[in-house]
Amino acid sequence: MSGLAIAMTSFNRSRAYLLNHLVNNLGSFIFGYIYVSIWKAALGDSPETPSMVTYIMVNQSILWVTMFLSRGAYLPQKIREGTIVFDLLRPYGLLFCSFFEVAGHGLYSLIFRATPIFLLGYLLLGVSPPEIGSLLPFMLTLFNGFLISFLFNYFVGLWSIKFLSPTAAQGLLYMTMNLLGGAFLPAEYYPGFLRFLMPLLPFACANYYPSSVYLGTVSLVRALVLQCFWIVVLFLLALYMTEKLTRSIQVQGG
Amino acid sequence: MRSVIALFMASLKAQYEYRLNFWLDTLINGVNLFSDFLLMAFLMLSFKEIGGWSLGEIAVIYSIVEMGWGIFRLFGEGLHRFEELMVTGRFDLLLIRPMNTVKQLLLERIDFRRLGVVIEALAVAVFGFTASRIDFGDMWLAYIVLVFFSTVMTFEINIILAAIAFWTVRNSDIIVLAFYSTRTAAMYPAHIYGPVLKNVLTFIVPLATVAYFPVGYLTGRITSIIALISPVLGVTALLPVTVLIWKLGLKHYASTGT
Repeated sequence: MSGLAIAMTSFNRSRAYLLNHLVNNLGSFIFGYIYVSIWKAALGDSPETPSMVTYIMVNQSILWVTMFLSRGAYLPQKIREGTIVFDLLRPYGLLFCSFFEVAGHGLYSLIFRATPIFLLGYLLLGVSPPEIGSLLPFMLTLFNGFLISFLFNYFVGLWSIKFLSPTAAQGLLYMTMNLLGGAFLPAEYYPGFLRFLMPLLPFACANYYPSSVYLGTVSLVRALVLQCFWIVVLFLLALYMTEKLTRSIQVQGG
Repeated sequence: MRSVIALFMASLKAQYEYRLNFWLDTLINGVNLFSDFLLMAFLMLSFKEIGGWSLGEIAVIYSIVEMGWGIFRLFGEGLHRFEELMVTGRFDLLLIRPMNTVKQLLLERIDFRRLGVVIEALAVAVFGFTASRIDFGDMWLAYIVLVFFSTVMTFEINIILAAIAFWTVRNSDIIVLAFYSTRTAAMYPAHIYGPVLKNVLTFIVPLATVAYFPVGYLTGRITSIIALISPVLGVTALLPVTVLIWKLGLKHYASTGT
């Protein structure tokens, strides 16, 4: 029950910036359009072009749920301001609290960021709507992608508990997600051994799998097995590290 | 001049205080942006050309735009974070000092970590010149000239966008819409886009005039001489607009208080 309350508060807090986000959505759509244009110029009249346009725009929409989540799961900000002490006082763990807080924001982003960007893509760029049968599998893999992304962001938060500044970890995460998440490039276009390695890594779980399941180019079972494997591994690691790091915490602000 | 040197040293000292963080941030700033270029390079292993341009040629325009951005971030942090000054009301402080506000903003903080971006842009340029058929010797001179125009234009655009905060207080999302997206678009050959974006890049946020058009002329892809002088045209046309909007904004400014 308390988890839902945290999520709702976070959802409402995000909504205060709705107008800013709508302006930002237009910018994000232009980014999608740039990548679509690059692919169209590369592929020309190939029969692959329409599905690639859909792949890019689905990814561009879900980036707000799978990549650009709250920096460090809100932890760096709480450490800077000192409010993390209130979270530590609560009768549930830091991981639990962070998850629901980010989940509330994630749900907001799905409704007010991902959906409008997708609709623009559908109306202006000819993105194919999902087939009835693939909608549920897509949402399922998207949720898993969100979980993976949350855990990564949580690690950035833990890093800032240890080292106070999140920028290095945040930059590293952004770079790896950018390079290996597959938002711009699906696995089959990676060179050499990366073509085989990239789909096995947790980063691909955030973008490559949800959008490939959307298009039906990767089976749901394969996506789920890989995503669930990484969720379990990362979750256990997060639990262990939370336990270890929250024993000695330095609070900066006030 | 003395105050400039004093502020420069203060910025350097302050940032170098946290050495590990400083070097890590510098490295990550560069590597991070390089990942975008690397993805493009991966893509072009499968397709040799995009809109008729090779990876090496794209690298050159990519680098010109990126370098302008890197130099801007080095000196323009005060402008980039202008929203904070508006929200907190700290801009009042700048108004009571006997110095031009834009100059103060430029001197407020020199962000040395952005050297990572500058080095990254240079590396992409070296790759571009080596990989493409572009003639090496004279092109470096052209590159330096174009980087100069790219930097000036990046400053102009960002002063205009900062001035918007005089009316809207917050402007970070407007920057994403009007600058981040067009900056990214200007890193690739502009003819791959539809007429709307291409016209925006040519006439409204004219970043294509400092990279795509002149490089297109120098590589023989665009024949009109206007393409060669377009950086001068773009930067000159934007200058009165920049001054006007900043001055209008200053007049309109009402402090939010603290």
